[in-house]
Amino acid sequence: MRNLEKGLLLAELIDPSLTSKEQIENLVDWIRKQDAYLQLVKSMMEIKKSSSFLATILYEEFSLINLDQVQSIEEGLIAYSKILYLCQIAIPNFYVNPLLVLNEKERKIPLGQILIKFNEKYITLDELSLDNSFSFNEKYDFINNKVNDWEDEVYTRIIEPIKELNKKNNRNLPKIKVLPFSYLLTGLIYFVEIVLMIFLYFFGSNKIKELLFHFNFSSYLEVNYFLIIFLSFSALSLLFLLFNITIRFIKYNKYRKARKIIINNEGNISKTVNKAGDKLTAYLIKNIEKHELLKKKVFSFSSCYYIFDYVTYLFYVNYKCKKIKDNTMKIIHKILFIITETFFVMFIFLLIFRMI
Amino acid sequence: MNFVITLEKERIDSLEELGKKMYLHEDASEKLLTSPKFLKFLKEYDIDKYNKLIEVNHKAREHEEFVFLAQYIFSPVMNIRHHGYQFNSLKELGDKIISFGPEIDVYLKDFLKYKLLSQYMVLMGFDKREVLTYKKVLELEKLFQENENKAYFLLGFVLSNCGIITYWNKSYSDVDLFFKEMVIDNNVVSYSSLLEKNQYVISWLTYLGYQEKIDYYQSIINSIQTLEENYERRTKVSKMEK
Repeated sequence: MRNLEKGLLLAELIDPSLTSKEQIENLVDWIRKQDAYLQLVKSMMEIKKSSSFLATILYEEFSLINLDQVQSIEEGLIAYSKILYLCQIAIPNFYVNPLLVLNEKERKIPLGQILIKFNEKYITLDELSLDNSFSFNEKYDFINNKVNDWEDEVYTRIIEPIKELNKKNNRNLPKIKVLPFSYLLTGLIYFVEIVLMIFLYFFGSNKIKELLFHFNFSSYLEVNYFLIIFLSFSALSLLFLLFNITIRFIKYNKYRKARKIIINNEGNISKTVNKAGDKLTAYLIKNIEKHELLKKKVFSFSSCYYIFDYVTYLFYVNYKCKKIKDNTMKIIHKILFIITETFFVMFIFLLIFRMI
Repeated sequence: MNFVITLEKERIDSLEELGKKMYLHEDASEKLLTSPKFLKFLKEYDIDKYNKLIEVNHKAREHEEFVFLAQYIFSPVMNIRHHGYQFNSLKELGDKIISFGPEIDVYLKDFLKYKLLSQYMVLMGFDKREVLTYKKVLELEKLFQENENKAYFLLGFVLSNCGIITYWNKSYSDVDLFFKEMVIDNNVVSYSSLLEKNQYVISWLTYLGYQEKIDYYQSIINSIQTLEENYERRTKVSKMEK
């Protein structure tokens, strides 16, 4: 900081009316040009992309700094000190949660480069590991507490929302099968009908064969017509069925996966989180005891990130619950089925009538 | 006395006169007092003073302290004398310190640096007659180890016993008026650049009882300085890593 502000600060503390608006604006302009401020603004653009609690807290702290509203040298210098403070910790290495990393950039951070606050100082985990001035027990307690904090964050961001989703699952998050029973049944019916047609072609009496498969459009044989219409609608229905199944598979694949992993699976997910935490603690303790560097990257321990993705997705679905309800494709399928079967029934009826 | 003493070509006729004039020629005095010839003479002439001189020589950490204390062996009842300065009272010493402000006189600093003032006060019995002042001087000697300039100027204000600051040859008793003049465009840069460096104004405010405001001011400044240092260090490290 400049000596000028030191002199002005002291004068202002004695008598607030001694500093002028110009001097205050001059200070604010100077702060805006400082590397620390420019770097902090840049860091905040990155922080917005992070999923961790600390990142949210840091962003909120930054939002509270309003240089436009500085009314005195004292306020300006306090804002400047906050900027300098935030600058040193508004980096991914500080706010990353190794158990829940979504950001691609954060996933590549070596565990040893994570910044922690230990004994009122900001140091990296590597520095903690190599430091001989603290006992292993002190480091052990710290690591346990830190990993617990990270686990707690995962619980808050994943387990608690899952509990909430489980309360609403019946109404807004129905089970959806790619191949519902009704589709299976209609498919079976079509299959049987096609087998019947093949059977009639190969093993039917000559009269039946003549009625069904000798197409003579100069004479009006209603059975042929109904057969053609029935076969056309069958083919259309089958194609539509296959198309619908494919669409359902693509459309609801993520939903089904998410639902399977999330709904009524709270216990297993809690175990996954605990396991990840234990694995991380074990790795940290082992290396710190031996005063070794922590070379593994953060993503090795971030086993819960995909769950977070599914939780967020289901929350969105829950909010837009109408999108998961049964859709018009099923209705079209029903209509096609009804038309196809109507023509089939009429065909069979006419066939029997002709045979008689 | 059949030993001829000369200090910087000036003839000295008695040991008492030697004591009175040593402050004017400190280097020459030190040479004289440590010369084997003089010590031999003194041992024969006045064993008591000789013993005291040897004791002071062993006790003193620096030659300034040695010469200062030695002068009172030869002239026990004497005002404060050091490096060309003489003061008839503690107040005079205080006034002199303030009169130079915001400049610092390195020889006047010696009174705290080598603990000359507290030792003088013990020699003259001021430690019993002016107990509060003596205690204050001891405190300031301690403070000198942490903040030389602040202790130095506080000594000036304590001894002069008046809350008037002399700044650039102008005297101020009113704090508001002082700062009103310091923050104008012509003065603000010079005043601000000296503020932390020489601690003159801060000492004045401390003397006047503004300790709470000083502490608050210091906490903001120290906090920013520490944060700036940390920031510079981290920036250097990350540049090296790249």
